[in-house]
Amino acid sequence: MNSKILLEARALCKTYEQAGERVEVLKGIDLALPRGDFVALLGSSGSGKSTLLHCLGLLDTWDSGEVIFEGRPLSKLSEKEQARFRLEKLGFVFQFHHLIPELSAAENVALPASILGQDRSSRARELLDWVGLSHKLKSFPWQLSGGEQQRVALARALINDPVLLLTDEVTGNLDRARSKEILELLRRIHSELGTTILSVTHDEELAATYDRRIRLSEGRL
Amino acid sequence: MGVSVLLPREWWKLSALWLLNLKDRTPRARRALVGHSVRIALVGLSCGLAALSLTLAIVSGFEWKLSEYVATTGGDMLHQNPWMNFEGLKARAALAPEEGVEGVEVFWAAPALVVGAEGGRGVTLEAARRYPSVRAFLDSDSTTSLTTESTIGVELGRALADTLKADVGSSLRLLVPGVMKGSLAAHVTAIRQLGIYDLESRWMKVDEAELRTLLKSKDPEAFANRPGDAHGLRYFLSETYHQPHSTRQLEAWQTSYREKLNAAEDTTLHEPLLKSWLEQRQNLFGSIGLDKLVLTVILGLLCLVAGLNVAAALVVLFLERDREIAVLRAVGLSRGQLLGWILIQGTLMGLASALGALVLARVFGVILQHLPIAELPSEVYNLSHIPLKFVWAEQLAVFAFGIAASLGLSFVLGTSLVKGSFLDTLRHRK
Repeated sequence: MNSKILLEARALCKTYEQAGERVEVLKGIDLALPRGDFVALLGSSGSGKSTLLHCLGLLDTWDSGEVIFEGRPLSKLSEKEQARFRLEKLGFVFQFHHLIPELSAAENVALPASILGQDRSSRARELLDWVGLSHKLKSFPWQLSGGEQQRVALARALINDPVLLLTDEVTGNLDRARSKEILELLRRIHSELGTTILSVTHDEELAATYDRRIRLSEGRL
Repeated sequence: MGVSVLLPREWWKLSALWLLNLKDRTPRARRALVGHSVRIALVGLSCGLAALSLTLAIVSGFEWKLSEYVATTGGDMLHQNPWMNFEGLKARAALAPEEGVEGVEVFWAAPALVVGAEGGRGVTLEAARRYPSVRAFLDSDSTTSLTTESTIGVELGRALADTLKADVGSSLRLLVPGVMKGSLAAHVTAIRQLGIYDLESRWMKVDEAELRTLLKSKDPEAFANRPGDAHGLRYFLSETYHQPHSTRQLEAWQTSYREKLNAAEDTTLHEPLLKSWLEQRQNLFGSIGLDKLVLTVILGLLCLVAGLNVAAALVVLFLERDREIAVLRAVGLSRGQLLGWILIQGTLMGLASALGALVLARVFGVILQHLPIAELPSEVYNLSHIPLKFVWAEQLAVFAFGIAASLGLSFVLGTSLVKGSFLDTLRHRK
């Protein structure tokens, strides 16, 4: 086992049933993600990049193959173990932030820690300060701009100190300037916190700022 | 680092915020429908539980009034015998527990004929004398100053007085066949409204000691041939002994008395016929209990339907928040914890409904007391209004049932809900 490899996909296949037809989305994906990597997963719309990201993050199942994290195969994990794995090891940020509207920015960030039964409200404040929102701790999501909401979502993803951060089109809803801010933030997370980052994007220009790019086309890398 | 089974207090707060749907926290209009449906469901369950609470209070009210009536007229404990003499009665009374006794009554009953100015009627004559304590009875010499020329005072039931066209002060003649020859002069001292027409039409009461004195002086031979002086004793106990929902104290008194009688050297005292007020009207109380049970089951089922509405509103609330839940599932909320979260909301809704119901029932109760619909014909019920008695144990049961119904139904619907793949909603949807 190579200890430098954090996440690995071996011959990963995934098929969907769509309008009565079987659609092969992932066709034997082999992927190795070293610890500390900062990777962009590129591909056109419908190429299967989000599906691959969801499989790697245990948000979706696969038909055959294996996903290995820190040398441990993940296919045998129970639903409860999967949830715990996501809670302790992974961070997710999606195109839509889906913050809880009734909770303040600080409360939203601290929420995943409370699933673990921990009160990490001071850490939540630190993270919001770190993403440049120290003045918005008590603001509700609807009082924040799109870029600010996405930064809160990023802070939320970091609250349990994940080893791997998976992002799915995080800049998809933002203008160019806000998108660059988010990318700079991802770069800081990678360099200052040492978090491995795998980002799905279809934006070639933004992908160019990553250390490494992987291209997915018609279910193959 | 372990995942807690029970969700911490932040989730209770979040649940409450979701349910309250506060405008300053959720200004988006799309929340309004869910907010309304939750409120309507809560009001529905509250009303159902309030109806259950109020119905139980009304039936309990009748039970309490009846128990009070039975205990004050027939005694909390009836020690019945065939005819016996005073020595026998005193020997029995001497063994009665002193605790709680507020009076003891010697009584006998016999068929009699009462004749007034407008005609006569067969009645059940009850002769009774009440003593303030067992000691007072034991110390009494049971004689009066009446002579053969005296008239005896009688109390009549309202219906009997109407039949005889008698009023207070009216003169009557009283015949007690089998007990005395001839008749006694009597006068009406009081007219009692008993609330039950049939009972009133035959009810007549005289002082036992006065009647005995007159019988003895009028017909000494017949009196001497009587098998005894009375049929038995009635014990009147303090209020705590005639509560329909707590008969343990009464049963303890009865058991203690029975044990003392059975342990007596005089074997004629053994195996006494002791009847508590509850046993004296067992069929009536049994039928009220059955009525209460049937009403509780019917209203309980209605509450379950209302509870189903609450659970359905909860499901809608969660489905409407599918993306937020999906993200929480993505960051590590397990299905078990999601179900726990649903149950937190079910508990909160049940709690709110149950609290609302108890308040509503009290308010409805106060209003009911002032409505003409709550007025009762006193000649039938001996009561002017529908009686209400909120028994805390019953109200607590209604409260617990409200929470349990909401929680149970939330669990049933919640187990199906958490099996749904919320994570699908994260896929490419705008």
